[in-house]
Amino acid sequence: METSNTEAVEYLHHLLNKTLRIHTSDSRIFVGTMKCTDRELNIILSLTHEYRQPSPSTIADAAYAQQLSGSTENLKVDMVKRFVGLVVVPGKHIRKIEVEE
Amino acid sequence: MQPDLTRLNLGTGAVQPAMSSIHNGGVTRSSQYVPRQMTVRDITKEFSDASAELQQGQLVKDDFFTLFEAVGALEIMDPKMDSGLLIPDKDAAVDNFDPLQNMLPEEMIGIMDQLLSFEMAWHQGYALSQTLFTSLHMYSLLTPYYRPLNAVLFGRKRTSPENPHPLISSVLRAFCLGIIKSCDAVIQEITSEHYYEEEDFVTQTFTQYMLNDVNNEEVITELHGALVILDAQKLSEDVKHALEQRLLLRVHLLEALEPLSHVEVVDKTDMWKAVLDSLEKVNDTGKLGKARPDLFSERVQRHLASNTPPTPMIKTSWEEAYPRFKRLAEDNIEAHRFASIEDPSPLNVTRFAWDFSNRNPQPSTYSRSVMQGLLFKGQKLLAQTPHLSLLLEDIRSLSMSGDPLLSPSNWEVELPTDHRFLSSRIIDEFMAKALDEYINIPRMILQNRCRMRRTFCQSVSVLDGLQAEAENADAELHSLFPAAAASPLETFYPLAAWAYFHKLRVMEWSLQLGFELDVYQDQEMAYLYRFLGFVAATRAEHLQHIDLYLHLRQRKYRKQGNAVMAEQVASSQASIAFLTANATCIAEFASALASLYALLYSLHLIKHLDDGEVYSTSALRHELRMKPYLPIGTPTLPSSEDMEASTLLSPDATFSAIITTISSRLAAAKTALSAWKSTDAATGNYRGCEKAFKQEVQGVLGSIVATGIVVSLLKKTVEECGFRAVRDVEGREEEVKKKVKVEVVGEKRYSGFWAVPKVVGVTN
Repeated sequence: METSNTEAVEYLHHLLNKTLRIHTSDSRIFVGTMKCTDRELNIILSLTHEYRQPSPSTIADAAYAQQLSGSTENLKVDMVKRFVGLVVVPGKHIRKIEVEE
Repeated sequence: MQPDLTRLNLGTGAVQPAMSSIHNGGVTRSSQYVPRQMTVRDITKEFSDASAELQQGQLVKDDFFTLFEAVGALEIMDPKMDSGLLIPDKDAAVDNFDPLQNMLPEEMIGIMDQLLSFEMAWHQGYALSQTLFTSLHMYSLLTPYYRPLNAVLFGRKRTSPENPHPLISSVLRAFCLGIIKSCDAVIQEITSEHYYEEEDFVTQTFTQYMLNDVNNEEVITELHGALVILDAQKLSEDVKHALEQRLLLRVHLLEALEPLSHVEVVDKTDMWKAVLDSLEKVNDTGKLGKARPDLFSERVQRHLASNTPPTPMIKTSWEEAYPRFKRLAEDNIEAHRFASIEDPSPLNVTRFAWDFSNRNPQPSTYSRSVMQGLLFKGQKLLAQTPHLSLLLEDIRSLSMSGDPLLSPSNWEVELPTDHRFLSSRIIDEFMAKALDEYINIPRMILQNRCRMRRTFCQSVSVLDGLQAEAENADAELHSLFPAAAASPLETFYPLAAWAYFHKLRVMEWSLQLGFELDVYQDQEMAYLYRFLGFVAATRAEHLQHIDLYLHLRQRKYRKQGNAVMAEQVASSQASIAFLTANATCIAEFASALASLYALLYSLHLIKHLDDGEVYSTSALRHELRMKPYLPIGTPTLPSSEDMEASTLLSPDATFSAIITTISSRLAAAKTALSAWKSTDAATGNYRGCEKAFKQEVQGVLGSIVATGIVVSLLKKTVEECGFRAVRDVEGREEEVKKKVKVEVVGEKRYSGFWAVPKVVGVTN
């Protein structure tokens, strides 16, 4: 028990100040610097950007615009990105955690 | 990047600890940019396993990250904190919004008026995210990225009509562009002066592109283009007229809001008058508009870069916004009126700033920034008179009038050993030290009322330090010219006298603003008015002290037959007489009010201090109220005991004596006020402020009269109860309370600075 706790702390410690990508249950992605975490998997990220899938209507509009221009390429719509600063992502909403290396 | 470095390392064959510097400065500098290869690794399992191993309450955190900061973190998925949370049924309105969809021209009028109302709410201090940015039309024009003006368009959607209506694609677009550019101009003006972010105004643009690179003229051209297109539309005359007036209002606003320049002051009076004129016409046609609340949504905040929780959209209407809009224009016209005062004296400048700030309601942050700009841009008044000459003139007119030390020829002496060269150097050095704090005084006057009081309190000790510097400079000047110092009386310290005057005045202001802002409790009023009386009396004495020296100087010039210089000194003396009358009036009236409050206290008409309260001893209360003034050297402040003794009435004090004292103080205040009132504008340094001056005099006079009425009511009550001395009240408090009561400490005042208690007879 004692050793596994120490190892866990060590592991989490090395992730501090690394850039994490956290996917949430509503399919948003938060990319920010890890500052803090706890037993409930709540994670505090600083200097965070939020990425969101474009809305269906945005995709439909883009498809329409492409159709008007007569292009046949694959439709490409960027994710929507905005700065949100310091956030805490509650563990219960986390679906996936990635680290940028 | 990593492989590159390894290769480089191998090539040199030596261990290079500072690899990156070699990399940057060495061989590969000319090589093509290689984007950093980023690998992303899924660590969901490792992370959650590790965190499960943590104990309850155990945190793994960065050492430099404090829990205090953590409190400020926004919680994702919490509807109150997370502005990005999806609310599908509400978000659909934003996502599916088609800016080019047709609407009635009347609805367009409604939207424009709603936007104008939001613009005013923003000026009032709300964020753009809860006002203008909630408009879906604004939302579709704004992005975080730079675009040329002709590319800032309402984007086409699949639902858009084949040929978008020009009323929308041109008229509404131009109107919105006008708003964006106006916001940009306002932010530029405000941020270039002193203001308090979030407290006064929110300049946050949520990283939206506010047409910063576009000139006002270019947007005005768009608006003119829209006017031409509007003219060609088939519309009923009144609707067309209404839309036209709204576009014209935007044109006039853009002209008027053009930020002030450092080099030249443009008189904007006429531009603001044009705004007023347009506003009236917009107001007249407002009833034509039809509201479209569905085209505004606070859900746009989901798209704004922001580290704040979602904020509700403000509810506001044109009825609320119209008077504010008018005030904005009127306040700006008033600010520009400053330029009409020819060659204003330094005290006149301060006076104008006070009158501007005293306008009721207080001018908006933008208007106060414009006023600041006119006074301070480029460290010059109206971009003409350098602040340094203003300071020199202030010192001269107050305490050094006719002093040979200030003779301009002294500044032309080039011989370093000449005393005149040295004296001008000493004065220059002092002025360099004094300039910042001196100019800060009018700057403080143009802040919001609470900040004014706070910064005045902070300024007291700074000015005290300056007074000490001034004394050193004065002593150096004395040592240069020992002959001049050998006057029959004690030596005069003109620079210190100047600093002392300003310090006392700032002290008075800080106290009077305390009364205006209802900082003090009823029981403390006697105490603080007593202290105000003390400070004002000190200032009156100090001014008389200066006058004495000026008088001696004037006599000397008369004897020498130098009528020009004698006149100059005499005019300073007249100004000082005016200031003395002002200080005397404040001192007498404050003392009268202090006694009146003490009387009310002794009659138990004001709630008594709780003696059982451990943390409210008189010494602690004294320390709290005197805190800003305790560090200063002069005047010696009255001790807690002195103040107590002069505030609390002794049991033996007779009511007739107290009432006689108050009445004579009030009479003395009135006499001083009439001397103050009868001074002409040039001598009293209130040129261009005649109206406000008259109002001020009337306010003080009204307060004195109201105090007199309260005193006579109390006199009657005391007589009816048959009280002779204060001790008679003991045990008979209820009798008094049956006859009179104190309603409030002056809700509606004749003058904000004078909190006259409102006492009324009890009718059974």
